[in-house]
Amino acid sequence: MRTALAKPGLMVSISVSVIFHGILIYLVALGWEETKQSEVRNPPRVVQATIVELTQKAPTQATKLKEEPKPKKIDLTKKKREAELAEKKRQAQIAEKKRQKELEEKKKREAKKKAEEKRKQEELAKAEALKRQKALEEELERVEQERLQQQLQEEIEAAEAAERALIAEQQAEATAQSYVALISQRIEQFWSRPPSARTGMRCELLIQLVPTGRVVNVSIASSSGNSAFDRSAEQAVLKAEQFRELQQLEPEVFERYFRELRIVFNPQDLRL
Amino acid sequence: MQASESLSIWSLIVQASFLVQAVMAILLLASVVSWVMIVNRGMYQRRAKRLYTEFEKRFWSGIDLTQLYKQGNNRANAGAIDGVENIFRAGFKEFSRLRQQGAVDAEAVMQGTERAMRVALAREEEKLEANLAFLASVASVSPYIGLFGTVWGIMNSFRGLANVHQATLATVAPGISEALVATAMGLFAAIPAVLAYNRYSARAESLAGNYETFSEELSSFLHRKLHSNVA
Repeated sequence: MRTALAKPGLMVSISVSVIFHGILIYLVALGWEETKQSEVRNPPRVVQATIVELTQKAPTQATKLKEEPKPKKIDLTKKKREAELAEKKRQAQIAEKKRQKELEEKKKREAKKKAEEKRKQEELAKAEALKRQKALEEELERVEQERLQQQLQEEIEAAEAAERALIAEQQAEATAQSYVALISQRIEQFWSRPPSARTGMRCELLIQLVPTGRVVNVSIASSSGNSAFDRSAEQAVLKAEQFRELQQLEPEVFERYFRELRIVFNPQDLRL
Repeated sequence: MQASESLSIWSLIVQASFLVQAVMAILLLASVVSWVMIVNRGMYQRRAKRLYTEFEKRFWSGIDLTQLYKQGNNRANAGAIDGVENIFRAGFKEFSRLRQQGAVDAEAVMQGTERAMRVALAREEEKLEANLAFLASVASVSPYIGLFGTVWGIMNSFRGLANVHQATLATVAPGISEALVATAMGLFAAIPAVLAYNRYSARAESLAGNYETFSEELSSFLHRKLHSNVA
């Protein structure tokens, strides 16, 4: 009785719940974190859009010289009739005239054609020149863009490198700090303070170390004014003798922070 | 660089220690199940409320009770009857049966009828409040489970801190942030469960009150019928 009611309702509620949680997990996994990060990670890459106009190609095929059909010579006067000689002559004259006329016309036409052709060629040349110019301009623009892009890329890389260097430096400093803390802790163990030590006394030592961690030299950088106190501090460093932990340090960090180490002694506690 | 990239919530969850992950998984499961129950109970109670108003309207429309009973026969066989109609059917069935058996004592008939209705009423109340106990326990326990995950995570991150000489905020912060995700999830599971529990238990109570009133009305109705017949 109850199952008949519960079945469809149960399916609906299970799917609603699962979908709801799925959406939530999706949002958490991909949602709002993404926007913040992409801003930092991907510097905007500028892509400039250029309108490339397709120049209409001038009719390239050279206008072929249409061969003018040669006028047929009409030799009507081939009949060799003596009586018609005059006629023939006349006709010959006419033909001659005609021929001349035709010749003239042909010349004219040819001249015209030539002019046309020349014009066309000129046009073609002009179009060609224009095209070349355009291509040149485009090329120039492209080169310029590439240069800009490269410049941008270089700038980004430089910035990234600088950031990395900064972080590395911070890390180095942090490790150096922790090693300094370690060293001062060790020295404090060996330090027996003289009875004449008073609060407010301050003695700064300059310790020279080698990469194995061994102390090679100790000198007093600034005295506290009490020679017993100064000596006790010096003795403490000499007793500590070697700090093996420094061997784990990277060489450049060692060079930077530990080749010469300044440590301040005062009776409260050890402080750098 | 590396740190800013790895600080999304998702990667925090993935990189968390096993116990914290287990706590998160339990909380997620609790949340999913409690939402199933929230939706399911909500639908059931809404339906029960609707059925109640519909049935009451039919009941007071002056219809003959025998006819009303017969109308529901088909649905009763299909098992599609819910809520107040069940109470009516139980009571009326008992009433007519007792009378058919020729029980002359009006008092005995009324007693039997009332008992049958009480049983049906108890069953309906149980249906209204099913699963609410689970919601209540999710509501009260999941913040504690989340807190447990958080405390464990913070404990670990402080233990890791003991080995570092220079304690910076950056060495503790990721661990604590990771640990706090567990508390967030616990609260996320608990808040809807608390709200749903309060709302649904109030609604179930009011519906149960309605059912009870109805059963009283029905018994007075039957009582009147019985006595008018005897007279």
